[in-house]
Amino acid sequence: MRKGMLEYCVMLLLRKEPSYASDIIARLKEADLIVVEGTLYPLLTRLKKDGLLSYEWRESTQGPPRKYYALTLDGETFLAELNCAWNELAATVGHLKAESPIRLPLQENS
Amino acid sequence: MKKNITINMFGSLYAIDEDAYELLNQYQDHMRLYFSRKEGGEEITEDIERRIAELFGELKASGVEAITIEHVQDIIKRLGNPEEIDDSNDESTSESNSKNQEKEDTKKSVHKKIFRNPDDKMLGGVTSGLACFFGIDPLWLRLLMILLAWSSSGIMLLVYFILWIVIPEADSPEDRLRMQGRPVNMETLRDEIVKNANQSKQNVATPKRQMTIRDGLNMILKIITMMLKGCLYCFFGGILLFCGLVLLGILIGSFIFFLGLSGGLINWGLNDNMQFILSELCSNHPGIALYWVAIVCCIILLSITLFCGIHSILHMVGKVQPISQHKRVTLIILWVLMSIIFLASTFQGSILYTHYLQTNPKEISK
Repeated sequence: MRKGMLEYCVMLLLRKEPSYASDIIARLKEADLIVVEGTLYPLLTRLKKDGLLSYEWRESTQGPPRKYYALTLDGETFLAELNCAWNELAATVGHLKAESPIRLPLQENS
Repeated sequence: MKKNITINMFGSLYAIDEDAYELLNQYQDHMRLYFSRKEGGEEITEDIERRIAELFGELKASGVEAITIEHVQDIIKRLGNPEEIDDSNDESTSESNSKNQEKEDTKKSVHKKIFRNPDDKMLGGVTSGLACFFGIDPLWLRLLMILLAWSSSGIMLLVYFILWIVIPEADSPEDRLRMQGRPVNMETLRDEIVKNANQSKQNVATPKRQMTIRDGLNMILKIITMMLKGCLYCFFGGILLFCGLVLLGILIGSFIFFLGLSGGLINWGLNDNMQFILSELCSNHPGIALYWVAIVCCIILLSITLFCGIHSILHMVGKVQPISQHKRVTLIILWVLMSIIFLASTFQGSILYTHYLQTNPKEISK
């Protein structure tokens, strides 16, 4: 579940703009999505292997060249499918939640 | 105070403490080993190495001059262990995988080895290492050793020194783990490195007076062992050289003996005699072939002994590596074989020759 989520989020990030691993890590950290940074690397490698991502080397102003990942065409279509699936899922969950509201500790605070 | 080394990661230089480097190296080995079984594993490892380099770069930019073991620990925590990182397995298989791996690890590391214990020592750490090996308190073994040293009128001391020389010191984390009979795997290795780093820091923080006394004693003992080792090598080297010289003497002696046998029976000191001997050596009569065999053997023997003698003395001086086990055994076997052949052929040859001279007196007077 979590793994799938992470994949989805990474692809969303990459659709906006091609970026390199540390950028993605920073963004995911902002969103509190990632605990151990290393997790990202096998994921990127796997997505690349599946043909959803591609990367190119870009020179950086500081340090060695970096790998910039971007979505491929396959990746775009896959992301669209994921989007649909996600929306359906969200709708279902939202519907169920509305029927039987759960009082989450966070909500109590606010 | 810590030793610091400079490493090159993707073209940038970073100054890193030695223990931190050890930890980092171990982490990367672990990573490499883990992902080597996976598809695209090399790329993952390399990406992670890049990330580490980047984090080092950040540290450097923030004014950290030398990367310490704490920094590396932080980075490892941040990046995670390969088991945590890996997403290709679902929970159950990864669990069984790690269990399998544990089994392998424990299987591999059952062998306990004797080392001298550098962390807990009075003199050379021999007793402490032995106690570690047998799983008893070093105190009792130490008492026993003292008792034995006293009752055996010093023989035990000699034994102790020999053990000191023979048993290697546990100077790497792997050795230390093996000394304690603990499994040698990634986690235990990492613990050991960190523990060792902390210990050395404590030693720096609270220097004890006792330490300095022991250090002084250690220094003296180290010098003594070095001298002892030197003496040992010198002794063996001397023996070998002596053997070589004796052999050389035998060679010359036997040559003169043959000269005497062949030439002495006629006239000494004439040019004719030399010619006679040379022609005699080249001629075919019983015993002469054996004499040649003896000469060849003697030359081989000489070269082996001189080689070993010179080698061991050079080794003592520290110029060359010791001869390997296989080579040593081969050389010894060759040496023994050659000396047997040498003695036998000289003996047999001289018997044959005297016999020949006795039965053919005409040959001599020719």
